[in-house]
Amino acid sequence: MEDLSLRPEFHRALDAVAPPAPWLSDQVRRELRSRRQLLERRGWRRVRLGPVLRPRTQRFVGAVLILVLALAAVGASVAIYRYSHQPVPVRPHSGALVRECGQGSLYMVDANTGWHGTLRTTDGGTTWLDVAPPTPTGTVKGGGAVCALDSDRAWVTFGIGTIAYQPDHLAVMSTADGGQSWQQVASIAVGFPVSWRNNFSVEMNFFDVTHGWLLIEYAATPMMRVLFRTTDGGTSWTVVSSSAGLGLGDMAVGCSQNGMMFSSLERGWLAWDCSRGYGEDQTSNSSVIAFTNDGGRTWARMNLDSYPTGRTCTATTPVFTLTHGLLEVSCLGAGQGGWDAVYSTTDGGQNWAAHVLPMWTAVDLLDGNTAFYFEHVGQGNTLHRTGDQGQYWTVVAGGLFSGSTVGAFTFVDQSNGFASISSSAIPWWTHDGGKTWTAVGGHRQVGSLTCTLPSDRPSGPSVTGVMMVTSTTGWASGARRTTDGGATWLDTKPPQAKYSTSGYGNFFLDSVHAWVAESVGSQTACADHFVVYRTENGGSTWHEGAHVPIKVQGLDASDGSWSIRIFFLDTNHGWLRIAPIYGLAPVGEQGPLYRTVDGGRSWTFVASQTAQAANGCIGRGDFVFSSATTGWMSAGCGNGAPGPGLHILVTHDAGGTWALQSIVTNYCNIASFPDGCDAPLPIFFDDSRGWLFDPSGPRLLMTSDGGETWSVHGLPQLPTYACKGKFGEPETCSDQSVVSIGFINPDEGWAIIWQNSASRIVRMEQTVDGGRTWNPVSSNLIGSSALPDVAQGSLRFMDQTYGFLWTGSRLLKTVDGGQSWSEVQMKYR
Amino acid sequence: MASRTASLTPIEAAKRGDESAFELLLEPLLDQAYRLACGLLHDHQAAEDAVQEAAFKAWRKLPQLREGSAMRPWFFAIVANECRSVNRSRWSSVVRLVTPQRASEPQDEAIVEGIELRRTLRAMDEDKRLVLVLHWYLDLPVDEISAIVGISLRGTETRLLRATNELKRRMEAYRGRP
Repeated sequence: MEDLSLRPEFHRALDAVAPPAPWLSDQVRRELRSRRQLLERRGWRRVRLGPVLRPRTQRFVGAVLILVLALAAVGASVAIYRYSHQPVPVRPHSGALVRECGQGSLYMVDANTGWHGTLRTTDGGTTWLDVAPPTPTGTVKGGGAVCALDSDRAWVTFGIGTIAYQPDHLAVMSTADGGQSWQQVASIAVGFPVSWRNNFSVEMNFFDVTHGWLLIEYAATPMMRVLFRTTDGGTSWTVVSSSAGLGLGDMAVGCSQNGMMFSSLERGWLAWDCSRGYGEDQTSNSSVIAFTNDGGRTWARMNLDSYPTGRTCTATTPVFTLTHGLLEVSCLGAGQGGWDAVYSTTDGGQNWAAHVLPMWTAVDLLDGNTAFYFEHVGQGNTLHRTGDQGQYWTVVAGGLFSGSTVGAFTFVDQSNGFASISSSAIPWWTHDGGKTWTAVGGHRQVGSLTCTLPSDRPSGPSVTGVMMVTSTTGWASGARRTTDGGATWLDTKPPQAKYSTSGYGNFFLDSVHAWVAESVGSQTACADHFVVYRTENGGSTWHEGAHVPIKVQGLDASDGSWSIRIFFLDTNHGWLRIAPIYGLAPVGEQGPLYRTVDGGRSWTFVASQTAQAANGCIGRGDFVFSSATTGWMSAGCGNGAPGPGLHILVTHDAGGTWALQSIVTNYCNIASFPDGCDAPLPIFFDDSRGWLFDPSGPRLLMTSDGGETWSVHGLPQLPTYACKGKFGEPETCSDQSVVSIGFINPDEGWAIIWQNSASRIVRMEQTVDGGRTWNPVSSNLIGSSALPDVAQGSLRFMDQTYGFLWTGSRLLKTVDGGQSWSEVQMKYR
Repeated sequence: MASRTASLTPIEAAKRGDESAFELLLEPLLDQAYRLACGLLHDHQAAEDAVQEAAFKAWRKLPQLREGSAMRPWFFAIVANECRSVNRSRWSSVVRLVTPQRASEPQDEAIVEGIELRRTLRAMDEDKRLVLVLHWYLDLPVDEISAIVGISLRGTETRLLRATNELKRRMEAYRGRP
């Protein structure tokens, strides 16, 4: 298990035991009121009472009702089963091999080209580029699916809506050139309200370039499964079946979808993984494969011979070579160890024979006849192969990957394949059918350590982190630079340092001065130094600074993953903070701070544990300096110590010591933030004048004495509107979000504000008196629903006319003070 | 944000017995509290009961909430204590078999990882399990975890580091790594 996977592993593992509880709030409120009333009658004696039916009882009664309904449906199911089980001819695919299109798992089309979600490789997996399309407007989490049919053609779906994990429709996009260009080809309405992320999933499968299916599964009571079909490459979709749960009832309830594939235009399979899902013990004795013989209109459970009882099982969709097919079922069960079998068919999937495997670690189905599995023997692993659908297995090689286990592996063809090994962060390849395996690229070995190589250095065609510094010149993450107003971006990054490892930061001061920091190792360490490159000519040439030892007290970060933040006040004075990454995030706020006064040529150690202030506040995240001695750092002030207010850490000795500064004490919405608010970083025009926007107020604050005192300035105000309160009572709402603010001097600035009313107002306003008064700007931004997602600080004006708005994926430009905006079509070369 | 005018803060109002103010404070915390309880108990029905019981105790103990203290860590600490009580009563009168299974043979990582992580968590002591769930599952900052578990920031960091290392060792041991 690698550190980087720990957080998602926790979410996968524990989300599975935290099923939706949308009733919880009401239930708690009811129970509280009920018990309070009783207490009032009986005094403060502890009692435990509830409504007439406790929630568990209510659920039990509900389950009984469902059972009755299910029994009533049995007759209909039997009829459907008989109909659907009649033999149908399997129509040969244009190619001999038919398998599920590449979903999130790694799918190699051939020895060179493959997909892993929207990551694509053309060099056998050594390098991967994310070729995902731009995120459509209104995208929310949940509802995503990927289907890669071949090396060039792929489809993706995005959930579109207003609430995460509750999309109201899906956007389908396709590419025919390996992800270089994408087109949105369809929009599919979900058709029913959904909530909670665990039980909403989308599966998509294309049989060929024109015929595809898309399944929306929402695990509720009753199960909701809606199957769509396209015959024109995804442009139009029609509902094939929307009978409750596809007629499968509560089959695989609580299990995760594990794939959908069609071996012909009529015959298809659905598979589930019951070791994952939103319940713990929900799935013993349940089928995990269903099939259709009529293009998806009706479905039936597939009953397999030798299928174990009382266990939690997982199935794959089958792989076919003409009429020969293979699929895998694996099961777990308390106290019974693992069970695994390869099932084979020779008649297109009407009948299946079981081939139970011995002790196993991982299975790969290459085609309808050929399969491999790794057996863990002693400290090593033995690879077995069958070429006759599992009747006979031969040993390919033994003693492989000693001391490690094989997590997953895939054969691309009879000779080439790769495996994921527990002791290695990168895949191992074979080119001789599995006899020998080698690790290629992507890692560095230092003694027994496998060093993590850079993964945080921006790469790929997408331009991210755009910051325009003049009307024509700008920078983007990875030291990409434009000189034509954002239309074309060139890679100007410095050469990668020797022994470079994960840990990257960059800072762009103006049109020509920039710095790139990397963590580096040596022959004896993964990463124990950092180095800063600087350019003074817009990236034409870079100068390598000194290699500086990283000093971290009391924390083992030997695997060499770091988070680097860097800031320059001017061409000479800069600071760098480096923190070890443990898992996916810097942990412990232990990052030391370094300082340079010669433009990054040399760095001195300033503070070991940065910004540990009194009152339990600690520095975290970004920092800025307004002079060579004065700087600010975001503060984390939990534990209630400092009380309400807007908190930030400040140093007046160039970072050596930090103190808590409560900028204002009578603001910061106390109901939402009883401990006070962590202030965002200020932006300074010079060493005395600066501004700060507090979104929790929201409040605009300005200083003219170097941050000693801050005064509240005004913000644009949108009109109130009628809304409903918590219990449906009529109220007047005055909410508004400040999307972004930008000032060109202490007086002149612009703000974009947004209101989540029914009409979704977006307005742009301008001030010429430091925010005391604001005046609307007649702007074509009004009505843009994409704007609320814009990050603070992304609105930048160069002067009274030129300005840019970076939305995170799109660059908008104005040349008339914000009245009209147009999108800059960005290209990366 | 609906416009409301009140002379008291919600905490002050709740302390003075305003039930709706208390509910207003509690409601945004319930989802995370439920996930915390699920993460500690691995039983969503027991988790619901634990959150409900914790909510009631929080209402009764609200006057004990120190002036200026945060509601969330305080309430989460009550939830965690309630989960400890549930665990103790559950193990003393076993309702259903949840005996951790020691795998006798290697199994596909992708299949067992969720189950195995939960088993590993259950095998660890309650204090370590709590900081792991708070950090890795609820994504809370270390300073807030410190407030919930009631130890110093430094102590929390150390506990989190040790618990994470132990978790990794246990997972690696299961998966056959040296």
